[in-house]
Amino acid sequence: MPHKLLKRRAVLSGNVGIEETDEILQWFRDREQEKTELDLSDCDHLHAAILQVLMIARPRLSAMPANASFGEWVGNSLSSGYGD
Amino acid sequence: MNPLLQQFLAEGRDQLQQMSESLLALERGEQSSEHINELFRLMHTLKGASSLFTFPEMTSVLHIAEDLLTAIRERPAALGRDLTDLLLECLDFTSLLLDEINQHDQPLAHGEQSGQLCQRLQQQLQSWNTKVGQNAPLQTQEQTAQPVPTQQPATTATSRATKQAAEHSDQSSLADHRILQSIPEALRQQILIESLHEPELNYIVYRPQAQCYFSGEDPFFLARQTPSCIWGTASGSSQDLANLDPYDCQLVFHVLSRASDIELQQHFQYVVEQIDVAPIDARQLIFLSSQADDQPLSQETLDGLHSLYVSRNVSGLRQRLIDILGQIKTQTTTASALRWLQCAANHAPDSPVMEQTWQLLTRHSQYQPTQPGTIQHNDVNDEMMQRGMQEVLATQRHILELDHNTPWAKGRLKAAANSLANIMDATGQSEQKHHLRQLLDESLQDFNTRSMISWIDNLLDHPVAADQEQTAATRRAPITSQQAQQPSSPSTVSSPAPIAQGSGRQRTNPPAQPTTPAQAQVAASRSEHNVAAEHSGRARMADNNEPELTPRSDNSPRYLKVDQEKIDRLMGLIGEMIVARNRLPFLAARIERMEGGRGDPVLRELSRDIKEQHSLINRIAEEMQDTIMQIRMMPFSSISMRFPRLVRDISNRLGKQVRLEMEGEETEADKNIIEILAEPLIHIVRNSLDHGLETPEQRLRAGKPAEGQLLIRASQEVDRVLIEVNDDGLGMDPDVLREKAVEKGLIDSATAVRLSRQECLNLILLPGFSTADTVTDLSGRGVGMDAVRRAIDKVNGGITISSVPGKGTRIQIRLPMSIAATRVMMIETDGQLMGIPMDQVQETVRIPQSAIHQVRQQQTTVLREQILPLVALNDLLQLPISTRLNEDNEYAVLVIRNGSEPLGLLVDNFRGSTEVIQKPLGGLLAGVTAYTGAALIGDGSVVMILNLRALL
Repeated sequence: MPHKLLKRRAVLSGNVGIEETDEILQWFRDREQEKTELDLSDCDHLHAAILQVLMIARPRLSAMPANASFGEWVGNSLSSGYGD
Repeated sequence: MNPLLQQFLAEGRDQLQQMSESLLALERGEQSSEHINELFRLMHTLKGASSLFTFPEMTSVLHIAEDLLTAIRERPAALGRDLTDLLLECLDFTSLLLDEINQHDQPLAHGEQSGQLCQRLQQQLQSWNTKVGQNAPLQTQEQTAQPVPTQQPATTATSRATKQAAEHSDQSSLADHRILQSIPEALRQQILIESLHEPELNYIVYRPQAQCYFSGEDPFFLARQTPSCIWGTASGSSQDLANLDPYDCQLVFHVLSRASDIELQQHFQYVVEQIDVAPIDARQLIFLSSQADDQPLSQETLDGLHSLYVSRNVSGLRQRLIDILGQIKTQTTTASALRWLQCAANHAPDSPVMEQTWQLLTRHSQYQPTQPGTIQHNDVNDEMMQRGMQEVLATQRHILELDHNTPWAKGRLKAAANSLANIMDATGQSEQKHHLRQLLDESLQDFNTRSMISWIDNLLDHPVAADQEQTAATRRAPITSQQAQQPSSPSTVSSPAPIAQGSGRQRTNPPAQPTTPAQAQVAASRSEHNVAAEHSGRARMADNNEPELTPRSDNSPRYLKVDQEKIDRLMGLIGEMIVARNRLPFLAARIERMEGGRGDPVLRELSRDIKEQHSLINRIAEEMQDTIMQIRMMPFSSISMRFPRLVRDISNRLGKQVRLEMEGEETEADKNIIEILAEPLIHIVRNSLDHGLETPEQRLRAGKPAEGQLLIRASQEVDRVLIEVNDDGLGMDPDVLREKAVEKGLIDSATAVRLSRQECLNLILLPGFSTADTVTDLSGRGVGMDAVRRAIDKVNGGITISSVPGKGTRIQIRLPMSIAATRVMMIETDGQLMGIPMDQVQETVRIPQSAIHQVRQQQTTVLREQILPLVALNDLLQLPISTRLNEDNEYAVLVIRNGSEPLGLLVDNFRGSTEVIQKPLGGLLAGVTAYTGAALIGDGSVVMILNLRALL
């Protein structure tokens, strides 16, 4: 189970594949009006589809991944985000 | 009008025409996707081009039309007539604006019209989107029933258009690197520093396909794995979570990488069409991070920095920057500018980066160096010029003195040479550039810049009176150190430098050349960058041994757009050449006539040589004339292409069903002929539609198919062009025409009775007939036909009408292929030479005086058992002389076609036929209708060309 979707916090770990997209999207849809957090400390990679969901949902990055360059990619994308 | 605008107008018209063709083809249901793509492409091109100029109305209308087309593109089959009408209206509106631009250089204001159009387009767009959403075919919105409630101001549409255009360009090109602005300043500085040693830097934009996930791709992974990736991010278009289709990839990845183009192509080899790679110069990353509040530096502080900067006191500058940065807030724009300068001072004090960052600071602070007792900066005067020039020269000198053991030394040398070349341009000493270039070549070979430095010293030092000290080439302290000691000393300002005298001549025209070291450097480095970018592939400047002082010429295009006037001039010239050529036989004849000419072998040979040369020149001249004629040839399609639209519009309005067929569109004729044909043909086609073809009900009742047929055919007949317009409509009844003509008082009833059926049909060409009322279908058929006849007469064309009542009408127009050269029959009367166009001449005969009879007031004769009326040309021209007879008491009679009847024209003598270039009469003679023009013939005399139609 590469992810734990908690009450306010999504903890994604390992290599998150496209098959998780629906579940993660639904989780964010259910919390559209709320502030959410994203924990990537154990995450190595996200599929582009998931990145796209995250970029729209814009959770707060509460824990950066161990891989610095991956962290930068996600950080840049989430802050430049959609609408550019 | 500027050439760019001219080109826009010419191309715009073409594009409009092609668009309307595509639209009509779409409406007919022809290969939808091809036409819609074409349409879209053209609309996009035209809109893009229009935004180059300030035609906001045009751009906004085209922009929304383009949006609409984007929507239609998905389902072109559903394009209905109303939508086509609306799009055609947009094209018409654009065409109107183009016409106005052509006349006034600017379109007039059509705020209301453009606003309405935009609004209607907008409505269609919305309704289309909703309908398509429901998967229903597009129906017309009740656009006519909905009066536009409020004017949508054109400006709204415009601003929207501009915004969208900006977005579009962001998606479609690399021109705008906005996304790079999100790179943090520290990282940008780091990249810049690294780029000093490793110049390769590529910006990659990767746009995966929307459906890429379904083929197992993970574009994010691919982007992350970009070789030598420095920075990357993803962006997308705004959506909300609720409507998001997570499997529709809308991401765009932006990556900065130090990998080479080849490596990148390899990495992205499976999606190579989805990436754009653009090399960028790390210096493009030098910009200020914008901050909300700012803390400007005092003039004093800036002066201090300026003196350190100008004196190249790098360590002092570094220390000072640390001090200042310690005093101000780090989050301000000024701090950002200072950090850039610090970065440059620390890592690249000798590179152009230094100047660029210095400029960044001065521009941000709006800093002007304080100079005691000088001049306002906006007042460019001698001293400013002098000082500026000196400063630039000194800076370049300093650059040349630097250590050349660096990878960018070559580029730096070239940049310096470019700056120097610019100065030479600015001071009107362009002739020095050649010498400069030689010096550059030498210096590039061994990196010995001594010769260039001494050349600069010469410029800095050498007064105009050249007999002063020749020690300029010897080493002297650089100017910059003088400035360092006395940065604001007036002495540097007042000492006149020779360069300023050079510029004195130029001063009326202040050059737009760099005037400060920083500007010069930036400009030079920029031009260097541009040149580098121009080179295909990735050849870097340093690898390129050719010094780039002059731009390279491009491959020339295959087609030329030439002003018609130039071709006409060429035509005129070849005409004159033919006339000059015609003099040669006269010359030869004169030699032969000379005393002893025929007997003298020398003269005879001379005469023969002249004749030989004549035939040679003749051949060349004729070929030339042919070629020039070819240039002027235009296909019939250039006018026929407007007919589909015309026929569609009129038949829709009249509620008729018409199928238009066109044949022989490739038939060519002279541009003038084709252009003259355009108007008459529109008249004829309109008449056919309006009066000839019946409504579907009428046709069905008459046992014809509901859809009427209109055939327009062009073909070539020897040296003439034949245009035919056929319809299968009502046809014309000669008897009805005859009655109408009598009713209108155009002919008396006695004449009317004698008219043949054909002559009755020709009645519609009479001037009075054109105003006939349109009570019946038939009577209106003459509308405008008089105008048609005039236009065709003007180019010596002919028109034939044939019609079968109930079956249809055929109108044939015959025109010469070219009106440039005319073959004329030369005749003589009252001792004068005159020409008659050959196509009016039927034959020439000699008729004995005895064979001429007087029938009432008319002289006649019988020619081949037919009565031939005779008219003396002298009478027509009101010359009070009777026609001369020859020795055998015979008259020279020119039988000409006068309408359908032949007529004999009595003249004094025939002088053979010849080809002439007719020139229209000018000045006072322009009003004389008896002549169509004048021409020069071989012996240099002027021949008047008779206009028999006007005379008879």
